Amino acid sequence: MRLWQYILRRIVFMVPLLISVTLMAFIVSHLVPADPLGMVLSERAMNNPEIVQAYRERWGLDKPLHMQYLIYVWNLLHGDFGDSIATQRPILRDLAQFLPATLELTLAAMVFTIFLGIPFGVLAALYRDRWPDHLTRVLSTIGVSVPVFWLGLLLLNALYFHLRLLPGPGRLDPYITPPPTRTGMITVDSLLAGDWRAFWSALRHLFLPALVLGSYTMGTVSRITRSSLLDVLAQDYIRTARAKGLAEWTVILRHALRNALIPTVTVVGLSFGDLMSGAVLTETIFSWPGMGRYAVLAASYLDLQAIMGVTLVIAFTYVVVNLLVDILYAIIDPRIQVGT
Amino acid sequence: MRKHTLFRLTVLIALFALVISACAGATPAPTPKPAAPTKEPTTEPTEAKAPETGGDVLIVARSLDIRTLDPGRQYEITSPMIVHAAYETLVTFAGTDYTKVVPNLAERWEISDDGLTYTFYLRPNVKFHTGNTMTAKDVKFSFERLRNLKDNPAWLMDVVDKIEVVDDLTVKITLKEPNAAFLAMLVSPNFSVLDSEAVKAHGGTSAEDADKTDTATEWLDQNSAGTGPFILKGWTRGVEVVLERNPDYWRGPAKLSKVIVKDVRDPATQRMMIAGGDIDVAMNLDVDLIQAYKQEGGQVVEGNTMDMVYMAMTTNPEISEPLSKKEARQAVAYAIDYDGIINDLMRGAAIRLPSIIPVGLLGTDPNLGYPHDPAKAKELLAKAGYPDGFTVKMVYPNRTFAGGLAAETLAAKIQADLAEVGIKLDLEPREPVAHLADYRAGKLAMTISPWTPDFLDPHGWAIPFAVKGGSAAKRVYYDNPKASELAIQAGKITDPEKRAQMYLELQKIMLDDAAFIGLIQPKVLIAVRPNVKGYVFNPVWWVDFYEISKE
Repeated sequence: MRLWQYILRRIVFMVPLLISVTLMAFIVSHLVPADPLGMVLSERAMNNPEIVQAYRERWGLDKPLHMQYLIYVWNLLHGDFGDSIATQRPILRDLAQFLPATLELTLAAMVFTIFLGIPFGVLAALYRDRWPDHLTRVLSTIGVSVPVFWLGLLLLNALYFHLRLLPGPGRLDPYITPPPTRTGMITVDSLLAGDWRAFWSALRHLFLPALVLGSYTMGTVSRITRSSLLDVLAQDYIRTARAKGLAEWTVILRHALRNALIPTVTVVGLSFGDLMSGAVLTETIFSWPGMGRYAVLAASYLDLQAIMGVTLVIAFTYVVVNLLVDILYAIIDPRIQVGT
Repeated sequence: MRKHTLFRLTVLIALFALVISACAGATPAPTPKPAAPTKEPTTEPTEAKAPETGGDVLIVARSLDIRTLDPGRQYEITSPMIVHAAYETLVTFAGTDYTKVVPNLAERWEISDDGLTYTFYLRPNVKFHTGNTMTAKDVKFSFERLRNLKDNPAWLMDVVDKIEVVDDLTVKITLKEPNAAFLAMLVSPNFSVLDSEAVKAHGGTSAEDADKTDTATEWLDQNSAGTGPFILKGWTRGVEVVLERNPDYWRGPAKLSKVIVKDVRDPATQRMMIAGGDIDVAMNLDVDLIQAYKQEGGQVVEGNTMDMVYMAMTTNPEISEPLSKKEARQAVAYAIDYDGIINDLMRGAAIRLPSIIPVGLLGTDPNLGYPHDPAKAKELLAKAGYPDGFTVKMVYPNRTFAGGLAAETLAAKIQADLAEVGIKLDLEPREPVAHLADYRAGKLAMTISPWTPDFLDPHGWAIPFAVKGGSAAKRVYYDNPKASELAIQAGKITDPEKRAQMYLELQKIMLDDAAFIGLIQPKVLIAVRPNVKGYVFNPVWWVDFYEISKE
């Protein structure tokens, strides 16, 4: 099967997959024994049948459950995610505001994951049981085991509060006018607008939360890279390459690392989904107005449409990333055939 | 060869570190020439080290729960702070005296002898942010829109029968039945007077079917149509609300030119931001953080909230046999170490809530509550038929109450206190959503729960807690005809002295019944930078930005 056919087939399969995700999310959300109206309406309003009735009608809660679900899916297939009871506006508008912030943070965290995690892993493997190995082991253990909220507060305390090297929470300094929204990612928007001052401020604000968010995946990626590179380095073809008299540098980068990266690609791919869905604490500490905080808000209001919207976005991310990972396999290792 | 590779890799890593530290801005990398040179002074203004918050700009950090800024719809905890800055009501409270209502947009008013008709005489020549003049038709429009939107605060209009425009500056409001709390209710930001023309121009309506046809909320979320000292310039959800001074304000322009309210969730983050000078006010610091801020020479503003945390015990034998006996409930009340809760758990950041009406309102007495008396508790237990105590389940919401007190900590303290007299508590934490559902359904034997004010009149507590079937009373099947009658009557007469007497008597009856036990009324401790003057806490709108100046 050709690659494009395979991709097409995977994309078609996405639709039933995502719809079943909505069904799961819908059922799980309804297992909570509480009335969403009770979360938004005050005691007094709940005692007024007219207000309760108007609310039920406004938010479509007056219909039986299965109808609510069918209406939701019907609207979804027409590109309408419904309205949020918590923010009182269309979910799509909410996502358009909160998703780019999380995406920006996640992509920046991926930069740390890849550009620190992989070199650390390589170093550790090459200098096994020597100081670079021990150092990166300590770093990745810290990254994996230290809770994000603690690491975040610690770094904020040191770099912002005491040393004043980095700006505080938020996405921009208070006195900088945000660039016009095009992508919703302030670093990109400020570049598009040619506003260097905003770009610089946004980049500085992005640094710490991205580092904190990426610390966990950085740790895993560096450990995976290390062990898989060690495996590969013990292989016969590496010995052959060295015996040919190739420079050690070439052997490692061209022969060993390329093969060793296959498990790493899987981990990096999955970690993208983890980062997207796991940004809640980081977003809270750094006042980052992203999807994690939106999801918490939605859950505290039992805001079904918003919960489903967020679930869909995260499910979609996982599915797409998985597809990308599979395609990347084929590129890294020509022996792997997609779709077989 | 190995050494060689190590060197190369080290260089690689070092290069990488360099790039990162350049991003981090330890040393500002030579900034590329800006595309818009007019914007960029020669020095780098975003450079860290104590960024000054501008001379008359106030930056506030708070965990915001705003869902909308439409005065006809908002009913969250923090939205009144913004609405109060941009809009005004007919009447208001003066300072921190919540027992007396004073003129605001209405210069004076008359109440008919039967207590049914209120005639308000409006202040002439008050301009809206749009430049339009405020008249009686705006009042009628705003109040009828509040009712017909049928949103969260619409119940405030339940007491109103009709609103008539007498002339441009006179409006007559007729109630369905006398209600002593009506003036106190009118202070609520939900009764803000909106510019009817501006709101209509953006899709607003006060018609019967406004709940389906009104589309002004989206505009009102970003703009203000009020008469207040500040004009709403925008709200970015999860980020900030921006207010700018109204130069034509009728009491004279505010001292602050701009107020930015930032949505910052984490208290520790707020603490660092205020110490670093990035914000002027931090509203969510807990007691520890406040102490640290104070020690550094920070200014701490204190105020009493009208929030409360209370304990509820069922009176229904089907839910709990022991607790259905009055003596057993009283024994619980005597067993609790109230001072310990306030001094040890909250380090003094609360006052004792004597009954179910917060101190500071009409007809309250701080010394009314139960003393801590374990011996008396044991005596009462014996009288109730449980000389060796009993076991009961306490379900509590897994959350933090106002004042930063974790429900878990409070529950553990009460468990320890009750154990001393032989009452064994089985604790069960639940998600707040799930807790509230069962509590409302009357399924819980014992619980601790918060209550926030709807308006500042004892009526707002007496009705739900004392009247049979009231929204709190029904949860514990509280039914005392005498209490019901007192609560209803005290809400109808207008003589404040007589009302105060009745509320005192009501609280004594309810304390004796011990279905609800007042625990704490949290204080609010706000970190304010020393150069900010005139910051006063208010339990409804948190703070009046108009009174604040910066040195």
